[in-house]
Amino acid sequence: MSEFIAALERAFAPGAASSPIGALRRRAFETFAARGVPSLRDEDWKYTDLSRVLAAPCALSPAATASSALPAYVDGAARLVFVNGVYSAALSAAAALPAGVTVHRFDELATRAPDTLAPLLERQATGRAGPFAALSAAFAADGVYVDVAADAAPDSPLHVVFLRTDTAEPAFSAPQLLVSAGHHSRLTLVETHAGGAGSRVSAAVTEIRLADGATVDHYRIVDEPAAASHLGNVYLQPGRDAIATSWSFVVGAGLARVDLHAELAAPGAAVVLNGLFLATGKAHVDHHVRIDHAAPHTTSAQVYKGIANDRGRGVFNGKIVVHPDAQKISATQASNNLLLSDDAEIDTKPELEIYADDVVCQHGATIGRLDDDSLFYLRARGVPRDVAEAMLSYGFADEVVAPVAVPALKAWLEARLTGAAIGREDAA
Amino acid sequence: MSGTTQDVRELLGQKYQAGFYTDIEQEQAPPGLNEDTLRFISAKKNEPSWLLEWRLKALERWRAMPEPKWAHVHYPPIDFQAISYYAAPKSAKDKPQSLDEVDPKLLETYAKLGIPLEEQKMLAGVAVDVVFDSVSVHTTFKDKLAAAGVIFCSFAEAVQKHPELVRRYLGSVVPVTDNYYAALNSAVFSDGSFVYIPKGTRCPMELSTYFRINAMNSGQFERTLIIADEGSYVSYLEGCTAPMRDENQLHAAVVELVALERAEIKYSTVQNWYPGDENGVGGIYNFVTKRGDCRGAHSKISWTQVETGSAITWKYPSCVLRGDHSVGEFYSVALTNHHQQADTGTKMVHLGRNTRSTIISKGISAGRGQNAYRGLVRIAKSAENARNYTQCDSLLMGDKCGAHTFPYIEVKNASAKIEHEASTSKISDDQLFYLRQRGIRAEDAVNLIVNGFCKEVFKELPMEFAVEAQKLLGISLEGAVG
Amino acid sequence: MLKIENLHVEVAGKPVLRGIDLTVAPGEVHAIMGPNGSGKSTLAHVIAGREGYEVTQGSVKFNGKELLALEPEARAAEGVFLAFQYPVEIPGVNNVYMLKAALNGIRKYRGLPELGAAEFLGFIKAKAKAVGLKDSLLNRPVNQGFSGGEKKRNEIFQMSVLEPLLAILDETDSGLDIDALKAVAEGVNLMRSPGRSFVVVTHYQRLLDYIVPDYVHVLAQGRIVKSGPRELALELEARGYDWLVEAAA
Repeated sequence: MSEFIAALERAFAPGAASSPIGALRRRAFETFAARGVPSLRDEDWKYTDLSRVLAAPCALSPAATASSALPAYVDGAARLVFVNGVYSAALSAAAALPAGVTVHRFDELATRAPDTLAPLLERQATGRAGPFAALSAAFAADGVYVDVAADAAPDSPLHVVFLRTDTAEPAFSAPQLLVSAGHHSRLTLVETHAGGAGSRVSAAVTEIRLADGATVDHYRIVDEPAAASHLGNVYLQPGRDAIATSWSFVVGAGLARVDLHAELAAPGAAVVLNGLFLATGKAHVDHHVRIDHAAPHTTSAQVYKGIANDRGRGVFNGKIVVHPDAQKISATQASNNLLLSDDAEIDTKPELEIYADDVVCQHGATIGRLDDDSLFYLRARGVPRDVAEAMLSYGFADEVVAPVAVPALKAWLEARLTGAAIGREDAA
Repeated sequence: MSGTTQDVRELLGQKYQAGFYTDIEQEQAPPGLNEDTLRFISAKKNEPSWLLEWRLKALERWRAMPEPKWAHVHYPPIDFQAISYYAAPKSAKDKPQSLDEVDPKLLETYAKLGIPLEEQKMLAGVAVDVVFDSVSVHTTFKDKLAAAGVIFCSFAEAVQKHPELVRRYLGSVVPVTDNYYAALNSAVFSDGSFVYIPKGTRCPMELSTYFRINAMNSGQFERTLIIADEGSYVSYLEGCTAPMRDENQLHAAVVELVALERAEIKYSTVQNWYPGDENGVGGIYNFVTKRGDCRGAHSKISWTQVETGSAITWKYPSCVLRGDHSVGEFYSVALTNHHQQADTGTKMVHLGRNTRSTIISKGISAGRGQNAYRGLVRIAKSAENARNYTQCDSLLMGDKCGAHTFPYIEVKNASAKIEHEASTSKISDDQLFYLRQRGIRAEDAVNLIVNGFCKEVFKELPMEFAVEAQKLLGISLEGAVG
Repeated sequence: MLKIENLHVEVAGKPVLRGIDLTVAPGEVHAIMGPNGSGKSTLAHVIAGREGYEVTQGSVKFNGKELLALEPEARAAEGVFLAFQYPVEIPGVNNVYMLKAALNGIRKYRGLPELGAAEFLGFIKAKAKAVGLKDSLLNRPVNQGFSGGEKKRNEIFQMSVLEPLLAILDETDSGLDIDALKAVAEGVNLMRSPGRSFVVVTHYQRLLDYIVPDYVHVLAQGRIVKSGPRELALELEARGYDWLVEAAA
């Protein structure tokens, strides 16, 4: 057993085995420990080496009230803020929650209604969502379950922010965001992982279940420091005629791995998955997407864009599976990547596995640098090289950023991208 | 297309047309695989001791390797001890000097397959090296090739006559330990073809080898080695059909190509081994390792394959683009019908500067066929200005088949430009109706569409092969309406 | 030549044609007009034998033979040609090659000898010239990369090669500018003969300025609600379809 797992086991305090939650946590940890930390020999981890970042022992993140600054786009909005995994009433604006949205915190549910919480964590505990979802379920002390009433259509977004404080020692936390959208409801959800300096590991889980006809727009931002390892897990399950849209923006973290899984098991269900990552410095960003078309008349569309600079490395693995008898399927996937430095690397693997015939499935992948002609054109017009590069990089990312429907977030992303694309973090 | 369901069934049920079996006495090694088997083979072939040592080392390595499980294919475990690793037509002892001396039954076999040797001898510009089971029994056009300095002979003959070339290049592209089946082949290979094209020589004719599998329970372990010296060119054609057998037969060939500076090798395959019957009984297991090494600057290796046969195909003709400005190409049509499974594709490994590769893959799945494209494009840090274009399309015919795409793209140099496109769809009802409205029968309409779908690959084949390839697709699929 | 009697057709359980009667004699040109969704294209497709339509009642006889029992290619061989509203693109399938397969298929059906390659090539070159189809389009994949006008012209060209007895033009004017429309109409008029009939399906009467019909039928809600001489088309142009649709309802 690695020191990483051993240290977590020492810190593991799941609660009484007799309670449903205690039993579930034990089971989840066993699932994780039995599986162990994946290695490069594991096909799903072929391009992402965890041996270095998950070698050292990690303590649990200390409870903290120390405030970190909230991201600019969150200010003033309805928000739930967790600091080092624990709910912060001071930073949250829970009173301003949109109508029809009810919020339950895990630590309340665990004591008040453990039988409600346990089934919510079941999928993670079984290991079906991968080792780090199981780990997250084992340690999720606090987290949030968002329940949207049927037909509710709040007109403002709900923010959920997971902040970390500066830590001297490596620290572990397990943020959880579970959403249930009632039939024909509409929700815009902005999930942020950010915060102070220091070495840390997050095993974060987001699960969004949509009842028939519901629509959820989910934005997920990872903006963590270079010493952070972010292991994210997003699960989408749209019901009949429901549409789930999920955006993954990874603009910071030394290592970020985001597993996204959409299960389309009801006719008319649709998912739109978009992503953008920036891998600068020595960052390693890995998106793993799996879409299961298990019912007829289901639709999926994906566009993932990656920019790797310096010694950054980007990985994209997208798998579309069309199950037997799931006819009338439309699935598209694009993985477009920009390499801005000779030391950067991109590995991409867009896969199709199709067992039905009445399907239209397409994928495309490109890897290249900025177009020389465009660069020359701009420079010939008098634009300095670095600015021209930033403009073109931003142009490359624009397809994914332009449709962002939360204006404050969009503005923040634009500023962040035009600065970071040319390696000038201060420009943001 | 309910109106044509009956036609479709009939057409999809077309029997394998090359399916028959010729009863020829065999000199066969007893089943089983151990050091003695290798000594038996080596002695039979009067091999030098270094080659026996090489085989023994390969066997040792093979024993330590696990059988690969990653491919998207399923089959019962293979009993490697039940296979006979050597079979030779009896007449091999005194090699026939002319067709008159060849076993008439053998000639009959070829006649049934539509490739009588007499006619082939007259085919302008095509030399034929026939491999019947494991031993070459006939070669033609030797004089003309000899005049050009080209060496084209059986592998066993090359071992005797050109040991220095064989020793220098054997295993230099596909190392003994490359993979499980390559290691097995290295231990037990019986025969195959050897080609050497000298510096600055354009091979005066297309070289072709017709492979047959005909012996009960005898695996086929061909070894092919083609060396194109500086500034030379060769086009090599490999075509396969096999008589119908009930047992699954293992075929684990290794093909190594070496292209030195400014040399070009064009390697074309039409593969039509027995695919098994409509219920998935029988058929060939085709586990092949094919790799070309563009060793010199400005060299080029081009693979073209039309795969319609075998119960299971596991094959990735690849290019290592080592030389600066070298070019790798892969054009493939793979068809699976009934219970056939194919996991095929290519690897393009870019090491040199300004290297270019093109991959065009067309997969057709019908019946319960499973067809997977698996490809790797790797741009090493040293490969400045590398280019790759990949297009892989799948056509589905029937709701019980599968089409899968597993491309790996790894880029470590920012100057690379990589484009990958893939699509999967069924034959469109609109296209079918349009053609039928113009008076074209449903099965012909499907054939037209399928051949149109494959056109980019067929145009890479030498003319006579292109015709044969279209015929094969027609036989295997004609009228398969989705 | 064509005799349609009491034709009822459903699509996915919904009635689309509700009792069509239509008789077309040799050499006649009939225009079928009507608002969108009236069943015009359905009628054209059912005559040609497209799948997805369920004929619940009625018959379509062509020179005394029941068409509804025939495969699409047999109907083509009998002499029925459909010029598609949306000609499909068929990648990799050469235009000339496709036509040769079609023409020889039809000739075989009729017991005629197949044409050799050279004979065929000479034949179609002359036809292409007659309808003004660029030579360069002949050897391209069927309709692939063709402009809208080129696609329609290609349909007329194919018609001229296959020399049908009955040609159904399904909204052949859609998407064409006036010059392309004239060119296409000219190609059709060249084909008019005492032995050949046309059914021209169109929403607008402008095509009928150039292909002058003998009869005009108005289709509304799956029935022919009015038939008349060519002047009816002009009246429709002036008054629209509403007055007839209301009458039908």
